[in-house]
Formats: sequence, structure tokens, C-alpha cells
Amino acid sequence: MPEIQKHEVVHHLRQATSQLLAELNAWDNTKPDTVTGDILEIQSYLKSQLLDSPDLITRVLVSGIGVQVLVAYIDGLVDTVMVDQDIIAPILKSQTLPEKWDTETLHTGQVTKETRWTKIWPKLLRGNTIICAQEQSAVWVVDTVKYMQRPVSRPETEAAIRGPQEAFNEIVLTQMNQIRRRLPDNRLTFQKVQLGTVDQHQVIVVALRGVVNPGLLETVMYRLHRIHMDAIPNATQVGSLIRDHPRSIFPTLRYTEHVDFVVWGLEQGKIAVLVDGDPFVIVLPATLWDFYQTPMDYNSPWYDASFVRFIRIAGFFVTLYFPSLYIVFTTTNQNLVPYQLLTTIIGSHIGLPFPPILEAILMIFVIEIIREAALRLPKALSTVLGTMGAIVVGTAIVKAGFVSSQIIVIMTVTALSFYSVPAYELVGSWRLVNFVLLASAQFWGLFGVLWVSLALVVELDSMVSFGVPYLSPWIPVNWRSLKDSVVRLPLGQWRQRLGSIRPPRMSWNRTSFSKIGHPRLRYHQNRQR
Amino acid sequence: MRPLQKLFVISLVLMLLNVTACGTVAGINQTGVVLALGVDPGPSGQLLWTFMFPNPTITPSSEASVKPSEEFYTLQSYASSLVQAAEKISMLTDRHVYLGDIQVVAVSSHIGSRELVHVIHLLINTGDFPPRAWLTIASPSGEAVLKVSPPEEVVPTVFLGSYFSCQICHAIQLETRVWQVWDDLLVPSHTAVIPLSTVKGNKVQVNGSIWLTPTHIVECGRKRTLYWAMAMGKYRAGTLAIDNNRVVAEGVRIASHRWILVSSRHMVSRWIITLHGHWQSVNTGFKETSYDNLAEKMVLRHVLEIYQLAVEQHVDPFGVLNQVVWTTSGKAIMPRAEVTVLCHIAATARTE
Repeated sequence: MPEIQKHEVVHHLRQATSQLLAELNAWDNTKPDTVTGDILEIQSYLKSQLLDSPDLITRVLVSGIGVQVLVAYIDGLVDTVMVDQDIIAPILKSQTLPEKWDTETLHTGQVTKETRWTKIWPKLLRGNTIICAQEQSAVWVVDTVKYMQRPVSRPETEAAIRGPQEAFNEIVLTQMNQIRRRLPDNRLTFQKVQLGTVDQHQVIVVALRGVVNPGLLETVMYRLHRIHMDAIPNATQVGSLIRDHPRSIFPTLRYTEHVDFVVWGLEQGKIAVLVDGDPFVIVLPATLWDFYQTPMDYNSPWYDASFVRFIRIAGFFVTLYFPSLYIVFTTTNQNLVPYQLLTTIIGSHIGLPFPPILEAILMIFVIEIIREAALRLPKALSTVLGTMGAIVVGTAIVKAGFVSSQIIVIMTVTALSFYSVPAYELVGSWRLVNFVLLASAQFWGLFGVLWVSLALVVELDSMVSFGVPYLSPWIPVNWRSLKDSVVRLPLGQWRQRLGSIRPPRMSWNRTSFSKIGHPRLRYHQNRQR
Repeated sequence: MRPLQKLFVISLVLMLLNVTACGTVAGINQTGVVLALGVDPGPSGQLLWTFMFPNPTITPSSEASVKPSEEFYTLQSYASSLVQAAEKISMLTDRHVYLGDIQVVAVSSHIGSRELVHVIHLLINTGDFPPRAWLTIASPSGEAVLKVSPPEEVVPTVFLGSYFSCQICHAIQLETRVWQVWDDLLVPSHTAVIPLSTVKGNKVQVNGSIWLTPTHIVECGRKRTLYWAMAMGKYRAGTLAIDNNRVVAEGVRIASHRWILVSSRHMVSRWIITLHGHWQSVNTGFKETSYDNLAEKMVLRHVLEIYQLAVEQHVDPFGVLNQVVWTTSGKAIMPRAEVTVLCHIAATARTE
């Protein structure tokens, strides 16, 4: 056999053996978990576990007193300057025994000692550097993590014209810093929960002690600790595991990327759950009305915010009832339509091949296709496509004789109203309810629409979010919380916090003004100026 | 979900599926909307029903291009009742005849009082018919009145429906709905007043009224209708000419307040009619008080004339008898009327 072929065979066998070994290691739970103290064996172990992955860097050094040391880290996840200057350089010069390196040799901030591989592996793979000294049964784990993160940017999904424009990014530590900076109070607590046996997701529960209801905090912690899964990819999945009514189509948790909105919730006694790797923070409890509030509501004058909220409520009714009422009026209850409109509707339907219900379904599909396409395409292209789609398809589909011009107006207004809901997670829910209403309108007319509406109210009324009724503050009525409902009263008139979430500290405003109201400059003071 | 709850939900859904009320409703493409109805006398006790439909091809963009003669079309049938007539029309067309949007009903002036009362009861007793529709007596016939559509009316607006709906377009407010007439007929002491529409050339004029009781009809011309409107306070923003049309008041609105005065000896119907408005440009020697007196006298004379006519004809288009019945327990006879006319027509700044 030629020499080259021999080499190839050996190389191939080595690779296969390594893979087999790694596979065996992954399956073998009985192997010893402790650190042996033989650095060459450890080096081999590390390489075999990661299948000679090129990003695993291992280096054997000799310390100042002649002890062999293995330094290992994942390239790209660590700050290499730190590794060079604060770990390798001091070790090369160190005259102390490895047991005292944390206090006398290493220059970094956080150094811990670990003896079990189950603890060491996640830290190594997160960007820590491990230092193994010969004949030592413990490993130094040094925090050299370099966070690769996108900069703090503007919120993409909850754009605000006024007020803070700071959004969370994917790094949970940055999220904590952003909250801490806005709420520098020693009662602000961050409690860590590790979820996922494979992906080891960090989940941080944020609460303002003294304001948050202890029962609420306890419930959240209990539900998080109860989760035992291999992997939990993102905040949505974490939320789906801890929320009330997990099979309901209505969301009972609010997700937001606005820092100021999360802080406002914490100040009102809510809880935020940060999930590493997801810029959307869970805010709970969340009632139906919470999904109609935006961060900008608190950055606008009270009258403007109230008016916009009123428009959103109107949008809600348009979203739900516009298409179904069109079906009702054109199919079963024509007597409710003014005769002028009825005549023109009849005129517009002459020669059209489809009944109104099919027209509506056809238009829903057209709009959904345009929406999906616009979401997937690059921004510049999606704007063009959206406009072109709306205009070209809208006009052409009427001229082509597929649908009437009225249904174009109805479905366009409905589609726009869908997105007047500030929280995206509720849009999908209303879309489904809309389909049910359409079907009931077709089969049972106005009677069916009323039945479905009644069932909807009953369903929503039976729901809770972490003990808070879903239709709160209206059903059951909570007078204290109505100050932040359709009308948002000026903050100066708030005497207490919102009562629905039952914070132990209700007092909010203790400003004492004189009898005449707000302090003002007197007339003569103005004149002196 | 518990089994019992499941059963309840399933039975509820099945029950809903069996609701047939909506299943009988025709689709919008198979609906013919009737906008006006004409009623004329027919042979052997039947009636000639005229249904007026809008042109079904009308859309907002095509309205301007449709000729006035093509805006509506009518279909007729002889039948004893509206339901039968609608059924016959349905057989003539491929559409369900929808009566719910009828705006106006024009009943021929050749129909007698008993027949007219019968027609009104027929209309009210027809389930699909909207009692809010305007009612008018048509001369020479209901069909003739419906077929006249002035050029300013654009389909689907019906001329008479639009005419009676407008509260500020005409000085005399004669509009009455089918249910109001039916309601008046239910009370023996009442007399219904129905406007009279007459075709003249290619125009329709609402220039009179009829007083309808279950036993007879009293026709009123233009002047009597005007004075009746004055007496009843149904005259708004009109004109008033005195002194052989040499002096005219404009913007005249007349308010009427009527009640019954009962004393131990006799009963009096007391009316106070107040005129407001302003005199048109007059000469510099204008004497406001004298013109006011003339106007008062003129209105008073005509109101008393019309009241006298009502007494003679045994009708009560003023609602006096109803007041009598409610005020006293005695026999409902028309009492003596004491009418006071107060004129507050002011002079304008415009003088010649």
C-alpha cells in the first residue's frame, strides 16, 4: 500500500474513532464527572468532546515555579486581550502555588473554582477561560466573556414618535443594565432561573420589591422552576410555558422591547421576565386592555393619549365586525341597510361570479399574501410591493370582475384596523375570531354574529392572567384602574397605583399643593422680571 | 370539558344550525328592491298594484350616465292584497320582491274612503311592508305619479320620498306616514290628513290634501290646505301676502297653540296662532301696525272658515274632538272655536 494511502486511512480511522468517542461520551452518564489533574488527559478530553473543533483553543504553559498549566477557551467568545494580559502573562511570571492564583496571580474580576465538568462545560462554552494546573483536582474558571451584541437601537415593532427610543437587545446582561439604569432602586431585584438542560438559557425575573405582590412573584418563580425541558429557544416559548390558559388563542402575557414600558410596568407592580437571546421582554400579568396600551400613551398629553386610545377601541370594533356585518347586510339582513346603499351594492354585484362571503375570503387571502410577502422582502422592496399590491391588485381585481368595489373598501379598512392593535400577538387572535364571525354571519346572519359576540365575552370574562381578570378593569369593574383605561387621566391626578394587579404599596402621588392648586408665579413677580 | 358540557355545546350548535330564519333569505343578486308603490282601483274589487324598482345596473360610477327615463322601471299586477301582488311580480321576474325599502305609497284619488281605509289596513298588515313609508293620494292615478321623475332626482332617490323627507324645503309641512294615518283611523274621533299629489305635464305637485274618515273623504284644494297648515302650525318659512298682494311678508312661521276650555255652561276650543317673520321691502310711509292688523284679520278669517267647513263636513282635522274626549266625559261634538291671531311680523331695514 503506498505511503499516501496509508496516511489517508489512518487519518480516516482517527476521525472515526474521535467521533465514536464523542458519541460515547455524550451517551455515557456513568463516566467520572470530576477533574483528574492530568492536563494532557484534560486537553485530550476537551478536544474529543468538541470533535477537534477549530474554535477550541488549548495551550499548555509552564508557570513561574515550573508547574504545567493548561489554558483553554473558545475563540471568539472570549476577550483575547484579557486572556493574554490578565491570565497567561501573570501565570508565566507567577511564583505562587496554583491554589492561590485567584488571590495573588490572576488580574481578572471574577474567578471561581470548579471541580465538576457538568459545571465547567457551560461556563467554558459561554466564553469563560478555564485554567487547569498539573496535579490539581480543581479548575479555575475566569470570566473573560466578550459579549457580541448589536447596539441598543430603536424599537422595530413598537415605534413611538415621542419619548424614549431605547429598545432591548438580545443580551440579558445588557437588558438588566438598561432596566437598572432607569430604576436605580435597591428594591429592584433580578432573580436568575436556568432553563433548558441542553441550551442552559438564563431567565431573569425582575420585580420591584415592596411594590410587587409577593404572591404574584412566588407564582412566577414556581411556574419557572417547574419547567424541565432540554431546550427553550426564546421568550415566546418561555411565556407559553408559564402563562394562564396556554391553549387559548388570546395572549395572557405582553411582550415588549421598550425599556421604558417595562420600567413603567415594574413601577406599577408588574413583573418582567428577561430571556437571554430574546430582545422581547415578558411583562405580566397582562389583561386584554394591556394589549391596547403603548409606551407612547405615557409620552403624550393625556387628552391626546385618550383620543388615540378611543380610536384604537373603534379600530377594534371595525376589525371584528366590519367584514361580518357586510356579509350580514348583503346576505341575510338587507333590511338594515339604507336603501341608497343597498341599491348601489346590488348594482355593483351585477355579473359578479362569487357571493359576498367568497369575495371576503378571497380578499382576506389576497391581503394576507401581500402582508406575508412584504414581511419577508427587504424593507425598500416591501414598501413598493405593499403599495403596488394594494393599488394594482385592489383596482385590477374589481375591474377583472372578481369582487365588488365595496368589499375592497371593507377589507382594506379592516386590514388597517387589524394593525391599530399595538401588540402584535393579539392581531392573530382577532384574525381568527374574525373568521368565526364571518362564518356565523354567513350561516346565521345577525343572530349568529350576536351569538359569537356573546360567546366571546363569556370566554374572555372567564380568563385570568396570574390571578387578574382578563377583562379588568371593566369586568369586574375596578374604579381605581379606570384612570388608565380609555381615558388616561393626567399623572398628577393619580393618587394610587393601578389596583387590578393588587400591589401592596398602593400610594402613588403624595405631592401636596396649596389650596389654590399648582404653585404659580404671582403677578407682581412676573412684573418685576 | 365535561361530557355534560360537551353535550350541551353540541346540542347548542345543532340547534343553531337548525335556525331556518336566515336560510329563506334571498341573496343580494336575487333581490329586487321596491322603492315606491302605487295603488289604483282595479276590476271586480281587486286593486292595481304598481311596483317601482330602481335600475339594477346602477352603480355610483354609472349614475351620471343613466338617462332619467331609465333610472326606474315599474311592474304591475292586479291582486286583492299586497302579498298576492308581490307574489305575482316575483313570478314575472327572477328576483325576490323586497318591500322593506318602500319609500312612498301613492294611492289613487279615485279610490273611495272605505277602500282607502282597507288599503291602509292591508299595508299595515303586510309583514315586509315598512309602516314608515310616506303616504300620498295620487291624481290622476298612483301609476302616473310614480312614473314622473324630475331630472333633479337621481336614482335611487324617489321624488316624493325625497320631497316629504325634506323639512325645510317647503312652507307647508304635509308629510304623513302610513302608520300615522292607520293610527288616526283607529281612533273614531280622529280625521287623517293625507297630502294630494297631482301630475301636471311632466311634473308632480303636492298642492292639496284630503281629510279621511272611515265614512267619507273631504278634498281640500291648495288654499284650504294652506289655511289648515296655518291653523295647525305646519306653516314654516313661507310667505304671506296682504292688501291684494301689494305687501308680502317673508320667512313667515306660524305657531299654533290649541286647548279646550271647559266651564259649567259651555265648552270652547281656544286657539292662539302666532305669526313671526318680516315684511319685505316696503315704502317709507309703511305702517307696520296696520299691516299686522290686516294679516291677523286675514289669517283669522281663513282659519275660522276652515273650521266651519270641518264642522259642516263632520270631520276633525284639527284634533279638537280628541281633546274633548280626553278633557270631558261628554259627547264628542265639535265645540265653538275662539281663535286669537297674534302677528309679530317685523319690518326690515330695507326700505325703498
